[in-house]
Amino acid sequence: MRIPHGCFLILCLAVQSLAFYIFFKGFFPVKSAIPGKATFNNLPAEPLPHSMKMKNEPPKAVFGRLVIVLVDALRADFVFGNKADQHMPFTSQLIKDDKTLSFIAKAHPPTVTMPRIKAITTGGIPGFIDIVLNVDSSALLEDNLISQLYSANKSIVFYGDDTWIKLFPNHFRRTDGTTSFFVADYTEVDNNVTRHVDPELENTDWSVMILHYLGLDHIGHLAGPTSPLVGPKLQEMDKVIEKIYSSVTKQDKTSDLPTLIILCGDHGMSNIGSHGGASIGETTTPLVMMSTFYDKFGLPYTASEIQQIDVASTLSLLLGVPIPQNSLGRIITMQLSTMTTREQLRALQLNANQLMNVLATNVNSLYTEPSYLKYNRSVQLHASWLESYLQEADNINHNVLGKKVITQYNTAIIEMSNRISASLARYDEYAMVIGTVLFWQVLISFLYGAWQLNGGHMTSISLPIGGQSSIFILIACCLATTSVHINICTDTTGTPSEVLCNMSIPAICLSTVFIVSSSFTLTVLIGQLGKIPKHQVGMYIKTTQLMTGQWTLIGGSVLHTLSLVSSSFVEEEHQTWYFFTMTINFYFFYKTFSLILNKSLLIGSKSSAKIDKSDCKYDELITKRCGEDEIDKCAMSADEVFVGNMRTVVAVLIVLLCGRLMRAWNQTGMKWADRPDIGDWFVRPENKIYLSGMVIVSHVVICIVRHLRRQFSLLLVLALIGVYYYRAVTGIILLPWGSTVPSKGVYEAWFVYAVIGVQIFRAIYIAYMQTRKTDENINTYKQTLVDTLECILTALIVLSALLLRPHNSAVLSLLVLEEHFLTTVLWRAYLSRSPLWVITLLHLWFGSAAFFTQGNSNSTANVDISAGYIGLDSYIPAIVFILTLMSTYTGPFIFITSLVTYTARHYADRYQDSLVYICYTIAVSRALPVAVYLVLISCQRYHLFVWSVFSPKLMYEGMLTIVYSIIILLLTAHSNLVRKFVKRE
Amino acid sequence: MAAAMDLSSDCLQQSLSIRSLFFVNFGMGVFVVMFHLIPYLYLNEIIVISSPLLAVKWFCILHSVLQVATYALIVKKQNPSNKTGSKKSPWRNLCNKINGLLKYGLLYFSSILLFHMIAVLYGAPFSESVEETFKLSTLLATLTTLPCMCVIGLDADSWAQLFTHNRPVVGIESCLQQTTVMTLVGAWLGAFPIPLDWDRPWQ
Repeated sequence: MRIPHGCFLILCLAVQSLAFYIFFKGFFPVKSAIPGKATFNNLPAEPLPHSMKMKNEPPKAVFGRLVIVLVDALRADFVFGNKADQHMPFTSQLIKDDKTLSFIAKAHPPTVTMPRIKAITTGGIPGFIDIVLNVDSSALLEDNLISQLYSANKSIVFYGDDTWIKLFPNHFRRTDGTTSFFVADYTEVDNNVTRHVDPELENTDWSVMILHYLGLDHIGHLAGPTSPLVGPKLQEMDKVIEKIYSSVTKQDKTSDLPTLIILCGDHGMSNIGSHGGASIGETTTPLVMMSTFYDKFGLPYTASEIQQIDVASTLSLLLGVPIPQNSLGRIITMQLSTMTTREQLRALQLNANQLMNVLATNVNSLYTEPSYLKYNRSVQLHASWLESYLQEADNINHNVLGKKVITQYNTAIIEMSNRISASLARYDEYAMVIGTVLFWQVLISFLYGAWQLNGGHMTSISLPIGGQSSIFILIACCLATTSVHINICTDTTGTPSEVLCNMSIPAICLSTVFIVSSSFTLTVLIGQLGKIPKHQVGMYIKTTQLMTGQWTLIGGSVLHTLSLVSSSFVEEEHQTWYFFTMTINFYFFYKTFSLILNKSLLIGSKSSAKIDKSDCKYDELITKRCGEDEIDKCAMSADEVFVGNMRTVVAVLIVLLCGRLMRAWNQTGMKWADRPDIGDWFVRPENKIYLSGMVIVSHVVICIVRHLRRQFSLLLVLALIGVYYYRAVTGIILLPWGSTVPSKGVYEAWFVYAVIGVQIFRAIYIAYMQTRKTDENINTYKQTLVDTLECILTALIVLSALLLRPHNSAVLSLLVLEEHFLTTVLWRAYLSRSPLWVITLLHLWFGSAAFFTQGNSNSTANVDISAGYIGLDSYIPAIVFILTLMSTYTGPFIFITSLVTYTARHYADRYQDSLVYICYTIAVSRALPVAVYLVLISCQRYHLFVWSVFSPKLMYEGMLTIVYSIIILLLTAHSNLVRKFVKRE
Repeated sequence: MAAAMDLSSDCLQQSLSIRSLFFVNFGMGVFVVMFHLIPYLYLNEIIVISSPLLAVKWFCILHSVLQVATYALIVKKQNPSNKTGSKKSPWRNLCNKINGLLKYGLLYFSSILLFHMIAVLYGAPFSESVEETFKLSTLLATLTTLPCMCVIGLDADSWAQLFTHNRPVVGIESCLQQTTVMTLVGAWLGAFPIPLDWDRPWQ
């Protein structure tokens, strides 16, 4: 059976993505929530003795109104730290006077706004997968505090981050949303919230007011927590709180119940101002509860820690609404101390009962759970305490005994909560294994295809399927895998896999794919193993002897793959890539200088050497002695040789310097990420003028480099001016002439998009004209190919210039510079005889390094989502996704395009086959680390850092695989198109 | 440093005429081992792990002295006729010697600078911890440039030959090449696990 390479690749990629899907489903568990909303109807009764009448009362509300001031990225030390006296004088004075209840609330990672809002309102721990949905927030269906307040007929007003409006549609009486995607703006976004505060404070029709301030988070993203902008922002927040507190205090004098004001943060910020991970800075947020009520009952601040998820249950209790059904939080103990013992016990009982219900849906056998037994015991103690309490109400001993019951309840609550969170992190191990196995099959298929291609099967690969025996084997394999699969699925000892063993249609489809794929792979393997005699394998290895440099490349890839075992290597993956690319640069450095030394040596030894065209023996000698891949040396004169050498020297030095500079531009990773870097310096507000200059210089450099490639055009200049103007209009950089009205720059961005569109259209037009020409000549054919691809490369560069953050313009220009000198000088000088896979691998390596130089890392915090909104007025998911993808993976995209251009330039005569070859190289070099990584992450699923380090890395690997799959698809399509046209002519 | 060890076995297979070379390298190997072991018994302040800077400093000094001494012995033994031929005034001789010494020093120093530059390009901080980087480059220069210098001298041709030949003459040249390459490979491998955050002193 023969399959064309293109079909085979597409088939493999499809299976690969399915394998990823299965693994993801198994690895990121989805918790089972109780549907519906909690009500007071099914509350457990207070465990009174039987003689008493059963009363089923909900606890009484303590507060009548609630004001939540949520400051995005408010870190605990902003409120409790040393500088709090200056930055937040009013709040810290209240805390000092013991008129508040203040805690450090620990947030669960991922520390991103939407999961955190969900955690605060539902009391649940959002799964890791929620981070993907962070951008695309849809209505929250789970039971939550806001819905409970809404059903309790409390009118709610909300101002701030519009995530809330999307999460709780129609819940708010009055609202004004601000979007969080214009990170550069940190004043307007907060003024839009504050301007509503005064009118609302005069209004009396609301009972819950929520304010979500985004400015601090934006400052953090722009300049970090140590920025001078943070202080004034905190003072502004403090003013708001003072205003609310004073007017609410006045109003409380006339109302029955006091008003509760809460100051909290959704997450903190790391030392470089980002968030998303699990570092201490990111997870510690303050929780300050202020009210006239606490004038009496306030407690001194002791830096005691609570969980952020505790807020939901505590607030429910205080406001007299049911605790959200799926909450995992527990009522804050210090809050309880303001109540009588009986009330406390009742509150704890309700909390424990609610947790017990959640536990019941998440474990298989509730009645054997140790935490459930503890709960039962607590209820019994509670009952006996009540009995004795009702008999002699004024006994002092009751308090002491009551304390014991409270402790008992608390342990039960903690244990149940822990048990539930543990069960949420339950992996579907069978799905993980199947996903991994499937992925390895894909890797083997890629290797098989590459092997066939190497063996001379250029257009299609032959599968040893078709004979009677092979069909028999195929059926046998199919039956075997099916029986194993069904056996495991129907096994009664463990819980069957949700993803694969269900009777639902997707599960059956996935299982079928797995069975078919494995039986095919097995058949091919068996068929091939039978066919190849052993001595041939030895021959194969012998004939494909590799040079030292090539071994180094393979060794580097393997080393990188293995380094993913360690969490620190994953965090600091950029170091690996910088190290590798620098080593390659130094290899060229060494080659260049040894060449020059040798040449000067030879010339020196022959003192009267007049090297001219006839003197090519010397050059031959040089070539031989150096073992170099120089080809056309004989045709060159001494001057030309000298110029050529100088070009290489300059290229090597520039590439070395570029590599070093780009590395220093953005510190990334974990450990050294907060070191000051060049990019940070440019972002500082006082350096705006330097930033503007830098952007201009980088644009000029891009123009020069494109000019060197003979790709300089008016379109490019227009586009770059458009980019500059766009940045100036958004207020990030200065215009050389006057100032502009700040705006979102939608028209400017669209101008750039239009120019890019024209550029791409031009590329297609060139290609189209070529197909209509009849005088077929390899040179013109090659020239059109190169021109088309260069046009696309230019378009890509311009697009990146628009999408990347302003301080990264320099990184882009360095990238373009590096790419130019690598491909036009160094590759040509040293790699013209190397196989294409070497060049492909090098491009992949440099692409990976470039990915990190623009400030990306393997942590979810570093994705620049704002790029997706450039030129957009509203949120269009598909476009936002594509733009974000383009800006994040600028480096890989540019290097792959340049690889194709290089191929067109130097392998024009067998262009289509080279493209297929490149596809296989990319596929294998991508599948290998991922296949190994899937095994690693499965082994380390109970590792401490699995959520903070390994899972984000898995996401990135998945994303990168998708990106490269798209690239492979495009290349395959391109190759087929070219083939069609060439055939026709 | 491991390179020196590697080398002794490597040179075993070489011809007998360079038996002395084997002894030199064996001696170096012994020295390296001793240098690491002795401080644990006494001289605790130069244990490599606890005080790397000081230890590297002393290692460089001792190693270079030892090397210069031993190589001087060998080179003199191998071609004793070279030096005796010159019958110039002692003053001239001294001048020459000082001149040569200066040149050697310059070469050594520039190789240190080269290694320093390479380290910075590889990502060592540019303005911070300059001393550490400098010590590292001194160490590398001591292990690679110094032996070559002792054997080859200042002859540019031989230098070029040494580093551009893929298969040098078996003997002292291949030995030197092996040392250099192994040292650099060792340094490369040693730099790879820097991102690990085990925070152990040996890192």
